[in-house]
Amino acid sequence: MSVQVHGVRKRFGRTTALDGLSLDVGGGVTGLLGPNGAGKTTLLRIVATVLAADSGTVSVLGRDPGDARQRAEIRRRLGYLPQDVGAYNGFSVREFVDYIAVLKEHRERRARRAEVERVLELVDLTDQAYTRVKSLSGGMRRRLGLATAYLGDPELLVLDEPAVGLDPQQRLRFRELVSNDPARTILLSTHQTDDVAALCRDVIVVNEGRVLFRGSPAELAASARGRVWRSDAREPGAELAWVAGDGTTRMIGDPPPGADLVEPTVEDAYLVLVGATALQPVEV
Amino acid sequence: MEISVLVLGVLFEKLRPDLAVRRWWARHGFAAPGGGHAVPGPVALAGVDARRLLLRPTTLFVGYVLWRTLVKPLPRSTYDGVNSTIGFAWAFLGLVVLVVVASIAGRDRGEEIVAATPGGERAPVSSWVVLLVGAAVLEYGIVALHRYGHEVPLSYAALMPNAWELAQPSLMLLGGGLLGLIGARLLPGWVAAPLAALVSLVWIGVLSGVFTVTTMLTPVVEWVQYHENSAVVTIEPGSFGWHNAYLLGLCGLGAVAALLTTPGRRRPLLAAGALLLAGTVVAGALALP
Repeated sequence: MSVQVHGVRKRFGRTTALDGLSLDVGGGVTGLLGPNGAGKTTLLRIVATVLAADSGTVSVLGRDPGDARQRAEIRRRLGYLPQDVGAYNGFSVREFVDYIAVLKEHRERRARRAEVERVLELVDLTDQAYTRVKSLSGGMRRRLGLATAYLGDPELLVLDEPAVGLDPQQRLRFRELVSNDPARTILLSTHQTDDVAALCRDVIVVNEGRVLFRGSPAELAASARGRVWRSDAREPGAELAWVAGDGTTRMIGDPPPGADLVEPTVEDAYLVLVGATALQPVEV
Repeated sequence: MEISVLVLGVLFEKLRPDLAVRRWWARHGFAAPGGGHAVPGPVALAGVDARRLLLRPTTLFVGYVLWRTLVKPLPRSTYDGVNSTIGFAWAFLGLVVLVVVASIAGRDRGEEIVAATPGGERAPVSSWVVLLVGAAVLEYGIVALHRYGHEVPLSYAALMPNAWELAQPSLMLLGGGLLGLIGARLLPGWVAAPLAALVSLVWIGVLSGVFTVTTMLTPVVEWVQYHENSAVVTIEPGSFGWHNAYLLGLCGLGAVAALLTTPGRRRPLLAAGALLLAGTVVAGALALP
């Protein structure tokens, strides 16, 4: 297992971000789903070694992030895309990736230049290499962060909402990039359930600092069977209801007898799991 | 003059014409020059920043202005030119470096993309220290070149700064940069730069205006004092060698303080800081007349 987290707790003042959370992540793409404030980012920051847990045990790539030497060894084999990339506005795209490449111990200049060009090509930023970071759109900044995460071809990628701000074409390119890499362990958090369905071998649903579900996207979708139905108008048992493109009302909740049940999607199942708390952050 | 320098500097920073040139260069198939050797982390990082800063049009422009105003006139200067121009003009370069470093060295603070790299946040701070040491050594080389590069009348030879005394401007640059670095690590850039500049100006201006016993504890000490009749000069009492050692100790303390603002092992830094503090106190006491 690349990532093992057992009984991890983390508090920020009076707020409990992680409440004894446990999970194991192996090879392939694992998606982390959950509403805002569920603890996804805190978990990813702990796995990326930039934040220490208050209690519990964490092992990343077989090493203990609590030990300084082992932490440095983890970081050599880790690519991390934080929620806020924080790229330096005064730098050009190339300068910024080059700077992070040096921090990632790519010290031989010729090899570093080749590596910088490779990752810029990977995220389709070659044409923007000499554009200043402050001129980039939100999606381009995301791709810039992704380029730095891929520096050095890391064994483990920790990506916090990697697809935010990407246009449909770039999202497909991102999916291609991630899915064509089955040997690597990728842990990504997202609000986009269609990305999870399309990319992830495993999905973990987190809410209030705890794991609510662990399984494949198909298993997640199947867990909502019998809870999703449609009708001409909202019915009393519906917890959530919206008018679909075909004019019918799609509902999640306790269907009445004889309801027209439909095959649930990953998004339906996610909504069933997290319930009404999901209404605020998730775009339905 | 000052306004046109400022306007041109701002224009260069806004437009960054160098990026357009490099984009054109890359599109036409010219690769950027680069060696094939590996160097230690902080040195490599300092190299990236130095190259980036040195090749910016603003730096080239300011460098040209400094060369025209400070370096070019020197061969024609007399002994007091060496003393005053080298001693003060070059020393005040430390103030420029202080403001530049204070404005930009805080960029890594709290950035997780940096924190998740093997060296963590400490690596960029170490690289700033390396970069400043490099700049100080370079400045010493230029100052020494002008001190020893032209003949001095024999009657004035005793009033000329020796090799140790010439290190004062370089130590000012190093110390100014480190003060800027500490400011940048603790405060936002727009507060750090003016505040650090103010602190250093007060320290220099208030304490070194009139020679007293404490003058030797300020960063800038004139080697000679000129009286109303400029032909009459007296050499300051006190040890300039120990004054340099005292300044070097302060610089070391500055480097330790800057590194202490980063997460990581603190005990070795605190031990080094205690040793440096003791050494600085001793050197300061020995520098006094």
